[in-house]
Amino acid sequence: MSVESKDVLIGVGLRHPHFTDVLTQPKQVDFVEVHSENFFGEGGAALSVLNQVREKYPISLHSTSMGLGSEQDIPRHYLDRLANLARSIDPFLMSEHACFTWGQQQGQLIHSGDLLPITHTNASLDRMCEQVDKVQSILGRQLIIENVSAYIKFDQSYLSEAEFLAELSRRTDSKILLDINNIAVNSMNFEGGNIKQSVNDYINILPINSVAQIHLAGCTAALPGELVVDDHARPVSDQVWQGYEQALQRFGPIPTLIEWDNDLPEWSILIGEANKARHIANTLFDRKI
Amino acid sequence: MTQQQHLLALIWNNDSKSLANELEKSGFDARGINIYRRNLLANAQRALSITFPTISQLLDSDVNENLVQGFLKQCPPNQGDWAQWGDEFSHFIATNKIAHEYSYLPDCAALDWHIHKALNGQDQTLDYTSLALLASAEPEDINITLNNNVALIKTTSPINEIFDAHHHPDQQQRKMAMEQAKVALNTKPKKHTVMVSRPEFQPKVTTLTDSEAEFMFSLKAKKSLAESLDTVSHYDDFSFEEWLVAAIEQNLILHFKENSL
Repeated sequence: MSVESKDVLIGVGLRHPHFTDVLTQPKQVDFVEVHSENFFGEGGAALSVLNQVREKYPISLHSTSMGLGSEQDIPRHYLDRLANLARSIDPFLMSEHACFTWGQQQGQLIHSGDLLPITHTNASLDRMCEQVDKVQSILGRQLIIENVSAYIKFDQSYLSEAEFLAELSRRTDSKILLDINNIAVNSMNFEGGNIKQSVNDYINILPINSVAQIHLAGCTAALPGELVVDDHARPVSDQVWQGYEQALQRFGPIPTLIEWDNDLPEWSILIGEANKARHIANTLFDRKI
Repeated sequence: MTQQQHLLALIWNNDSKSLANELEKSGFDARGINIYRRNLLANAQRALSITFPTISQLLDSDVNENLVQGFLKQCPPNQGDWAQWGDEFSHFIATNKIAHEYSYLPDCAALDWHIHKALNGQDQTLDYTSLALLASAEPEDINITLNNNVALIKTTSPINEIFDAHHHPDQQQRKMAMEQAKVALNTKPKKHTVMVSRPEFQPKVTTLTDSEAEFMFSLKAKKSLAESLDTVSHYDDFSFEEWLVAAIEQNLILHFKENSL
């Protein structure tokens, strides 16, 4: 299904428990996003459901395991599976994270299962450009690269993540997926927690036409003295909604997705979050609701 | 060691003494490293609990933490899709002390794994046109290729009953299966074969008769129909015609092929 609307497209992350809802209820969002790796099987019910969903909604494929910033090459078997899925689903967006996932332990290839942070240096930028070029060439599609939540900082980094992504986008003709909650989490963990300021600083570094998608999510508050964990287990916070408005003001009508991965709510609550995003966008761009 | 290797080593280290030293030397915020360490364990437990639901239930919750730590170290995931991780889990459990107490666990893990593979396996159905070969060729010239989602597991444990006791949709059937499993575990172990198949999308588990098992192992070994029939000629309970009807119903066959081709 193609996407032609010039309004802000609003979507939700689709997870297994909501498969029946998405197929049986009237269309309430403009697109859905799934994690690519959940559909790497060669067949079976999950792929069959995804093909049915595809008849109803445009699909965005969001990958979580590619590890574009890994020093280790992305294994060919991973890329082949992703390319097969992209050919079969024909997504309108394909995205990944600016992180690393692959490495070695005692001489064996391992996959970390997490979005591990990278240093932001010219060397790591060169490496990620190389991998993004390769993946885009294999897929024959533009990638959208997302900023990440991190729980450690590297002393070696001399670029900000925003500078890193802006340059990555310029050099590889990829786009940026701006996750407002990830900026908020990093702000709370490392920058004193003035989220409005952190979002402002971040988005002002990114070129206007570089952002192709926005992610919104919520997370559980940290215990005193602990770091905030980006668990995607709560509704979007007021501060993230405010950051969303700041981002729309700068970048214009960008496709927006509500992510919710843990302690999944009922479908209607997820749709409620999507409606909030639509209300903010419509109010901002003065469109009829 | 590169920065990324260093970070991975800290996250994957499960020796608390050396970890404390390494953490101090690294200069990283220990709270941050501990989040990644907890994520790793939680992701691994979640992945194994989904792939091995019977093991997860038998061990009374998420797959036991020590078992997961050990498996992560010995057979770390090497594919981006962690649903594909676990091929060696049955063997790993067999070499773990937990198997001394619960000898049926490794075969239960093998059954879970094959069901999981079948669930996501290629959608395959019988090529009906190839059935005509049965009328036009001699049995010695015919090979029967089984559907890729068919797996055969030799066991001495009541793994089918244990599986049903935990996963059968009907509560009464679950109760009965549990009783049957208990009885079987308290009697002399008997070798038998359990088959996983996928008639449509939902995998099915069947306990085979000895003759069915021998016949199917022979087909799996790519022996001709004639040779496979020979292996079961001494059984009086095997009928190829009956097997064929059931095999078509259960989607066990991919195609018939002339072996000279």
